[in-house]
Amino acid sequence: MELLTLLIAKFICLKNKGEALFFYWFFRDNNFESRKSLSGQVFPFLLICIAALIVGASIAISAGKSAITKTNASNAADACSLAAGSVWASGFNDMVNSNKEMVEYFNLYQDNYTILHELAYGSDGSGGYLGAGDKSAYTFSLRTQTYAQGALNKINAGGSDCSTLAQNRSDALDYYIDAMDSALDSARYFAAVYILAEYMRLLTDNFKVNQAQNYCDMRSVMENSITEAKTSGVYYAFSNSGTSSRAPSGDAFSNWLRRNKYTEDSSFGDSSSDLTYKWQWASEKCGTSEGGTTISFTQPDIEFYKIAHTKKNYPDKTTLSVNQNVQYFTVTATSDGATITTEIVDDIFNIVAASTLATVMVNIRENLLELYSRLYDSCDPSECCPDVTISTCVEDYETCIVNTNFYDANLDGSTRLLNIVIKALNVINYYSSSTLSVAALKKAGKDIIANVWTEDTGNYFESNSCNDIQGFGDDTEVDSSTEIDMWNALLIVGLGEEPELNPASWEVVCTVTAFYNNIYSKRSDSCGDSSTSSTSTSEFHGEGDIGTADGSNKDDYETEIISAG
Amino acid sequence: MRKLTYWVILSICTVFLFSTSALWAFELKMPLPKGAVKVSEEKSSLGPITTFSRVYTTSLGQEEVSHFYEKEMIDAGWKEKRKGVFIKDRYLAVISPYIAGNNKKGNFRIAVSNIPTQKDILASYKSKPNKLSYMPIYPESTQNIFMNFPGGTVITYETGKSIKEVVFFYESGMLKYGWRLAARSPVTGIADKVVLLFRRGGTETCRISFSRASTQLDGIFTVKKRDEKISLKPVNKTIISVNYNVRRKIKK
Repeated sequence: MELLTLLIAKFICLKNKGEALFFYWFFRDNNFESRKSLSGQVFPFLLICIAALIVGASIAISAGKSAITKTNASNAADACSLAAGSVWASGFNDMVNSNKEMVEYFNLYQDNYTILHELAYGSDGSGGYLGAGDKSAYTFSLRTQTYAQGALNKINAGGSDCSTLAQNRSDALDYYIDAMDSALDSARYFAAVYILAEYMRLLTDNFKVNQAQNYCDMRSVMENSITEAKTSGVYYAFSNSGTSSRAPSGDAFSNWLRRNKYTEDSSFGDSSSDLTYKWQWASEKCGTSEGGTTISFTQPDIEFYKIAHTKKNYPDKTTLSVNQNVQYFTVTATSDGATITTEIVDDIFNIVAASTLATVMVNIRENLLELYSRLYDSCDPSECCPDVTISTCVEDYETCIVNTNFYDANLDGSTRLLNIVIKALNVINYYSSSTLSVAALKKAGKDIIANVWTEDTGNYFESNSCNDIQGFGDDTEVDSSTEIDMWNALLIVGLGEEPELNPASWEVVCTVTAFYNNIYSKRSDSCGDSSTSSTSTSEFHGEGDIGTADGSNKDDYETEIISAG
Repeated sequence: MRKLTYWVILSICTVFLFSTSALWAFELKMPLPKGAVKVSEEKSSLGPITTFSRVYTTSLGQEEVSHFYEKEMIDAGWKEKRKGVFIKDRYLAVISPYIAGNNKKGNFRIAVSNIPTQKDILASYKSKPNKLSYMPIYPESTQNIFMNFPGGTVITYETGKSIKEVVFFYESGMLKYGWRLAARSPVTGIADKVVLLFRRGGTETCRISFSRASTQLDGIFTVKKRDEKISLKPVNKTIISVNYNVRRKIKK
């Protein structure tokens, strides 16, 4: 220590033009009592003080620069993580709202599906336009059969005198009229079932298309949110870095600020969740490894969504028993007695079956109308053959012509009522094994409600892309290019739970590294040769979940900084 | 004449308001479990069916809500058709309880709809189809079904022309409305069923399917007099089924 003091003393105690300086004098002769001249002794002190001040000031300035840069970097990192987290959280809230819409649409679908099914089939066999209520296809079909049988009975009853013949003829005509009316009513109710079945199919189609589109839209919104979160993070980082004024005209970030939209700089549009970005001017002037302000940004990406679905989808050709049962049926009720064979394929909602039955009922009415017209146009025994019975008409030629018409009308009526009208109605009303029957349609209705019903089973599947649900939205026969097998269910809502994140964290991390020139730097390019960095982490988790197919979504995803430094 | 017009309009408005409020009234009269709080409500229409629905939250569980309504609805004069489905007069109510979210709170939804008459259901049949702004209509066709959805419209037409003629009409006619043919079912020549998928502007899709009719329904949709003969024409018709959808933008 003594040696060090001596060296310092030797260094500073210099002679100036032969005059001893204070310290020299002090060391040479430290006897103050000699009273030699002490002039010029302040100057060295002044020099020392100035030097000390300069050194102190430079240290203070450097420290201040570092502190300011550090503070700015910290602010920038905080702003970055908070802004990016907020935008990302906002994306999740958008997704929740989208999910709500899909849930609402599902509810709408389910309500209307219930109503349509209830109207068409009823739930216990007694209701519905197909059921056994006062007004139904089945009731009117039964009535048609009863009246047709009544007409047949009257025709077959004949009569031994003209008045009985006339009465039976009149009764038969009344039965024909009632049977025709009932047949037409039955046809209209079958037609109503047909339209309701069409509604159900069209509703299902429409639902599928809407859900698929909504899901794809939502994915698109979320993908944009990732980019928006990133660009917002970078925007706020630079805006709070205290160095944004340095951006020259033409710089990508500067352009972006002015345009208030994404820059053409490809790194802004990169959808990857991680990003390291540096100002364009800094990259150009200072190279990639030094200078300027650099943002390192990390946010989780969505790995996959969980999509809820129902038990069965439409169409599902293999598992619906209704499809097996109503694949073929034969109609034997034409006016000329010929057989029409109608093949029904993939008629899950009984659209073809119901409309065919409606047509058959019209056909039956046509038969009845022809028989009615023929009988109506024949002579009335009470007027044209008061004294002649059918059995004796052959004895009177003129009467015989008239009565032959009457006789033929009765014969034709008897044959066609028995072999066509009543036979067909028997099949429609009572033959449960036939597919052309009310019973078959009722069974199909039960199968629809059992298998196509849109019940949420809590099942989910993982979806990585919009294409995953193409089978929900379009029939495979239309969208053959995708060649995606249809899922065994209807899409209910976009998301069953929160999407799976990669990494599985609800955090956005921003690290801002700012470079600055210290006081000794000879650089003049503002690149900086010293640096300081700050990292901030924001969490953007909501209290609720995205939603389980029940409308319980909460769009309260919020962001807060959970660590900074 | 003016007075007559006034009264006609007033009557229509009154009937409309009455029918709407009647449906609301039914919904409002529905029994509610103690402490149930309304979360949301909505009105929607589908063809001849109008539905009012409300979502409630309650501390009761799913089964408790179901039991509550099984008892209360029957006491209120409703007839249970099956679990959760009740009918009274010309109204149908669907009660759907469910567990909401992670907090396991019980929610339930009440939807009350009018039951349309057979006449209402058949009413969309028109010999002259409704005019459409977004697509052409085949000139020689009748309209069987016309139904608006929240996201679009579905319509079926019937025509005596062949599938080939009708498909050709739509393939060229849709282009004039700005549609682009996005997909077509694989057909060699013209099969018994053809499906065309059109897209427009990234938000609209229109799926048109063409099939041969195995039945014909003339005389069923239109009311005929007793002595008016229903003619059974040969079945050589083409059914045109249109499914028009507008993609709903996600609300921001």
